[in-house]
Amino acid sequence: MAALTFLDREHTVAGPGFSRWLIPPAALAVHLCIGQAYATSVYKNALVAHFDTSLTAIGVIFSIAIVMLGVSAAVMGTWVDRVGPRKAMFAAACFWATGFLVGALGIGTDQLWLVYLGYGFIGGIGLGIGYISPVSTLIKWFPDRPGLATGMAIMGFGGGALIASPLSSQLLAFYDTAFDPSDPTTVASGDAVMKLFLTLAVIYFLVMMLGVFNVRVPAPGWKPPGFDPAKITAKPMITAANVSANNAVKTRQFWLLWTVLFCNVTAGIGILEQASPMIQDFFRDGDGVSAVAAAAGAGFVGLLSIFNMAGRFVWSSTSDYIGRKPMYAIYLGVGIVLYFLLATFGNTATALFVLLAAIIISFYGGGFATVPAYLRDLFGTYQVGAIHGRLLTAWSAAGVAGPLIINGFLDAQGTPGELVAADYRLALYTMVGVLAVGFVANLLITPVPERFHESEGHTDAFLEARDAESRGEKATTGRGSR
Amino acid sequence: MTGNEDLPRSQDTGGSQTPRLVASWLIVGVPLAYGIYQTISRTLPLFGG
Repeated sequence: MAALTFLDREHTVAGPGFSRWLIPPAALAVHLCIGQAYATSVYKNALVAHFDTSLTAIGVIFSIAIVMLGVSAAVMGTWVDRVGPRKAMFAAACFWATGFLVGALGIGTDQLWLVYLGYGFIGGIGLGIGYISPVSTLIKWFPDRPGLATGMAIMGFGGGALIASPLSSQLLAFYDTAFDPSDPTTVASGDAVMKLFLTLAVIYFLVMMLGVFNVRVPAPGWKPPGFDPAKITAKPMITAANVSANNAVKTRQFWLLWTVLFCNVTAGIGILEQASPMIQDFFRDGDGVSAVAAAAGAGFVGLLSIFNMAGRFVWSSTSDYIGRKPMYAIYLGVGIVLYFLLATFGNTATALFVLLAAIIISFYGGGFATVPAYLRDLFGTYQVGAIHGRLLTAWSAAGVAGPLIINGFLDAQGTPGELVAADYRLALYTMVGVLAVGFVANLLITPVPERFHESEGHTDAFLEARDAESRGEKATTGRGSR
Repeated sequence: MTGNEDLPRSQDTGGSQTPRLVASWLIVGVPLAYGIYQTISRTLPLFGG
């Protein structure tokens, strides 16, 4: 289609003098939008009332979206690397906005399955493609600071929920004047949620298009002024070679890193899953009354969101200086100590509890943001987006394991919101064990053996596909794909 | 083989990029600042506010 020629590869390679500082806002434009996925609690009760169903049935919408995030990131990663960030971001914007539109149709026609299909399935594909679409591009533009670059983008995923949550509340109150976001006894109408979905579809599509129009890949041979690649690759654990996505999954290093991410995310979810009732339970006296009010519990959740977002940027940027392996040793090793202190002494002072939990959650966010740079160090830039997509299955697995562990232990003790600190200890000590497994896995990570390396010609999947296209050939995808 | 320098590139670097940089960062920065402000307001009860 002629109207879509701006998505062609030839329009995606930056001309001379293009500023690389246009790329982080392009990536943020996508991640801030798809980060809405963590703000669904705003309209959950409204959908329960509208469809006259259970909270579990509504929760399935979010579960489908997160599963599709993992599946589409894993399956579409190679395509994203080959077609480039511009076409991938455009596809993500189309899927994400269509997800909202189909979801709105489902709400408007009282068909819950359409919301599953729309927001869950179609929107979830947009989540997966959108999440990985800017990663390899950022790494190529910032070979000197890949942790900083991916930290900025993935910080956006955390920041997206911070924006969507108050924005959605205000829009619901605008569309339904009887709804008061500050009063938990009021619930927005289904009509208001439908209009919210339509509004978000338009806003998110337009903002994501900013990313589409701004994103470029660097021209062949481009490097930042004063940057000497030899200085980077001279560091231990940073390769100058490249490994294809198909070969990467055959390496021990990929699965060790998968374990590291899985353990880090599982432990973080252990707190995030029950944050609000947890802080109240930790400071409940013998009469069953908590020293922490429900409003303060909600404030605690907000504080964790900020630390989750900040940790993505701060810790990932720090990894550029101290190295990726030591950074994960801190996430997991210090995490073990902090988790132990939280379980054992967390109930002695609210400030101590909040401080420990906030640092743990900053490590959780940091783990997400640092992993693309770790992958670059181990596997090179050739298909780093596709490898990242496959690694994100660890996130999906942790999304199942984390709540299972924490809820499994807590269900045996009673109902969160009515427990005391001691009831959490076994669950939290289990998370200490999970972190210890991740710590050992990180220690075992070594450089990828040479037999998995690509030959000299395979360094950039996108430029390789572009060159092949210009010659009228079908692109090859490296040794691992034969 | 990659790196064919003769292949076309986008024609997007004529003139100053400063306005485009400012606009791009504002479009993502302002909503992010709004979200952070709203969230910090929500955390005040935790500190007795």
